[in-house]
Amino acid sequence: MGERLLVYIVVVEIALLAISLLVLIGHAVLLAARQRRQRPRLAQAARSLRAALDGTPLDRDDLAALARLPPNAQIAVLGDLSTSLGGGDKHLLTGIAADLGLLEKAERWCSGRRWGTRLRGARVFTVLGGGETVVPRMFSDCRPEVRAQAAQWAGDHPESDSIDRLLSMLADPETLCRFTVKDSLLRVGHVAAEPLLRFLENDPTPEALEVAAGIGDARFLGIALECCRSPDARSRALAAALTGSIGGAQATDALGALLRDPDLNVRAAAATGLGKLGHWPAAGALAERLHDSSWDVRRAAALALKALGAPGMLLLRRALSDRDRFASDMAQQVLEIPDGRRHPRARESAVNVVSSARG
Amino acid sequence: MTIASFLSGLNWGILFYFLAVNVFYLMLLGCAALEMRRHLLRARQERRWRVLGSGVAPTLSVIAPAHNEAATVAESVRALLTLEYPNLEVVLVNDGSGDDTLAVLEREFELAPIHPIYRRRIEHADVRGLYRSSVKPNLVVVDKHNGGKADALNAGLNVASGELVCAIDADTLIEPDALLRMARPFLHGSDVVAAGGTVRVVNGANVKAGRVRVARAPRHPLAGIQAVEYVRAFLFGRLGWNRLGGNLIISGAFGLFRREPVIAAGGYLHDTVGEDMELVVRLRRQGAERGTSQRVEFIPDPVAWTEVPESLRVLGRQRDRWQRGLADVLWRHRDVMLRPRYGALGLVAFPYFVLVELLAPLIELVGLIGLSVALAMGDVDGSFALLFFLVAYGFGVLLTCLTLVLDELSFPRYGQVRDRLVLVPWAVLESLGYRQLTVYWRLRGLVKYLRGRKDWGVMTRTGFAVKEDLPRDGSAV
Repeated sequence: MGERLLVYIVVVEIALLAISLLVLIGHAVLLAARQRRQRPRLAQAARSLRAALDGTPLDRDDLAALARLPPNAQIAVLGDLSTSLGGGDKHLLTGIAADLGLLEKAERWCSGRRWGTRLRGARVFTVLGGGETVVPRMFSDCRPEVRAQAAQWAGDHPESDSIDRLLSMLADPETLCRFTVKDSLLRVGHVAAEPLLRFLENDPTPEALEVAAGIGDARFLGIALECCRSPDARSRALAAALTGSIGGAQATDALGALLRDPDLNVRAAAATGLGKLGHWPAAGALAERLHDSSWDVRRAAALALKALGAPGMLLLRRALSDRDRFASDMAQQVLEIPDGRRHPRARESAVNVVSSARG
Repeated sequence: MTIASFLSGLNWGILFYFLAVNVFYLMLLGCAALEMRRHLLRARQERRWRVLGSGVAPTLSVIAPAHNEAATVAESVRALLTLEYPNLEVVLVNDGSGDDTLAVLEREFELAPIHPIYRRRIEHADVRGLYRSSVKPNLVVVDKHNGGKADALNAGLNVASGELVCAIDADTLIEPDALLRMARPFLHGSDVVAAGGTVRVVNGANVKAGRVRVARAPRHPLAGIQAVEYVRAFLFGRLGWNRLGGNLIISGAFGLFRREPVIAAGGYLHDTVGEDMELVVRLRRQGAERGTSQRVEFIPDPVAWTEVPESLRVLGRQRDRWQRGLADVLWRHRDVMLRPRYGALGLVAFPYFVLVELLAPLIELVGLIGLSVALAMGDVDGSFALLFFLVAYGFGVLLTCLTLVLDELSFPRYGQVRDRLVLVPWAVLESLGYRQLTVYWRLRGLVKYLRGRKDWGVMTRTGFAVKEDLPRDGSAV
């Protein structure tokens, strides 16, 4: 009985082994043959598409050759070119994709039952253009991958509806979606400033403030100053970053006040903002922050002083002989002075003091 | 109890163990196939280059410890500097090299001494100097006293400024877009603390300027068998664990971590030879203790290449060290075992590593002895034993071939058909001699661990430096 069972198992194993070897060899051989067959056709297709972009219209033979390629190869060859194109050239490729029936296929894929199919459809529209009637529906897809892809598509289609949808997705529970939305909004840039301002006025979330800081439009100043007084420390820190990306007298005053904020991240952001704005009258206040109890604030202050140019560098050099070892160490680090120059006999030990207990 | 009944009980026990482990392997393979499908769907027609221009992409530092690498360090660093990732920082840690490693770097990259901003948040041996390249400002070199790989990585963690840190060996060859691929899990979930990619065998490949130009399957039998072992361990072992409670190992040769949680956990431990696995277990354990998820993901398509030993002596030392590292990590974290508080880590992954990865060689040896004695005493029929051996051997080969199929249908790295097929004979030969040798080396490692040996052993280098950081999981019983 036992032996018979083992014989059966061996037979099943041999059969499965034969099948797996058949799949392995068959796939490898077929893939190699397909690649060999397609290589010259893909090269020819790329050549004719490049010629079309240079102004030589595709003739019937070129289109027929492109149409003979499998859809994945068509997408690959068009996608390779479209990634670095915009405007009229991209429209030309979108038109060719439509002529090949790719956009129609992508539209079908976008309404697929499987998320992988819908994702594929959204990706084709992102790469090749088009999809204005289909992709916006996917902002509320149940799969985060598909929503994120729709958000990526919207980054290349900065219509007001798309931007509003992107803003509403800033609160998406999935990290991937939030990341893609922020990235797309930053790519859209100043076009998104007005809707973002409206959004911030209603709901100044940290994510929205982060995007606003990345865009750095002067229209955000009012809301930024308001958020500098927010009870939430994270919002204040982001508001400081936003204020630092805008500038002006009101901004520098607010940042100067935030240098004394109880939260270390806010103080650090304020110092960074002042450095970014090159506001040299703040040099004294920044030099004071070299004595801050937080390493991050000391670092931000020292870097800001360096960014101020001559007045900041002067204060940093003065700080080298400061009695406070933490301030002098930070100044030394930011000035990138090798230890040997300052402490010729204590080169090794100085490096290891860097960390210091205070920060 | 008679000897015969004892042997019968023992053989039944071993048989049950064999069945249980192989059923688990099948489950792991099924999970790996499902994971691979999900990954393929996510990766299809993906535009990874977009991350390159993103203002919100996480910053990334590569930490490469180097010890006596003068011959290869310049080429390795050049290759690292050309990896595709926005604002990539490369931190090379010269771990007390006795050769010209630092001099080569100073000459090739025009290093200037600096005192950069960093905070010593985790302990490591004293730093002798810090340098920044004048020609490649994103290259920082840390020159420190020798303290071992873990110590060098800790120094790198302190100096690095990236939100993510990629820990590698200085002579690991990373594919140009591997970091872009590897950063994906961190964009997918804020609770991902570490991600691992696939490590493949470079022996036999055409390598130029720190890049694999033409990937070729090894022709040397020992390297070939290890190439098969690697494919199985990474594509079926680690990928399958994504669905079965998460990975416990991220290869020390190629792993990406969120820097803050690693520093908060205290960095790498110095006094273990399994520092890469120990860090991952500690990160996951601390996450469970705090009630926050700290996930460790494996993704199959980022690839790093490494050279494997082609001599039995060097390979034996490597496997012996892995086993000691495994035993040490499992012993240190023994209170995780079967504790519901740790979820899948305590109830699935940890018991598997103890029962299968750690004790398998011992059980295999006991089984072989028991079977031999039973055969000698006539308690087991010879033809039954032969059939059982065929079943066990056939299952091992089948499992490996199915993994090769998974590789072929997903991300085959060898361009030539013959290179993909040459792995099949190595898969068939693996269980005839090589497997038994690994059982011996692993047993030797266990004995040495019990005797308190914690050294790394001397590694001989041929061509590329011989790597030791490799899978400990996925070997078929």
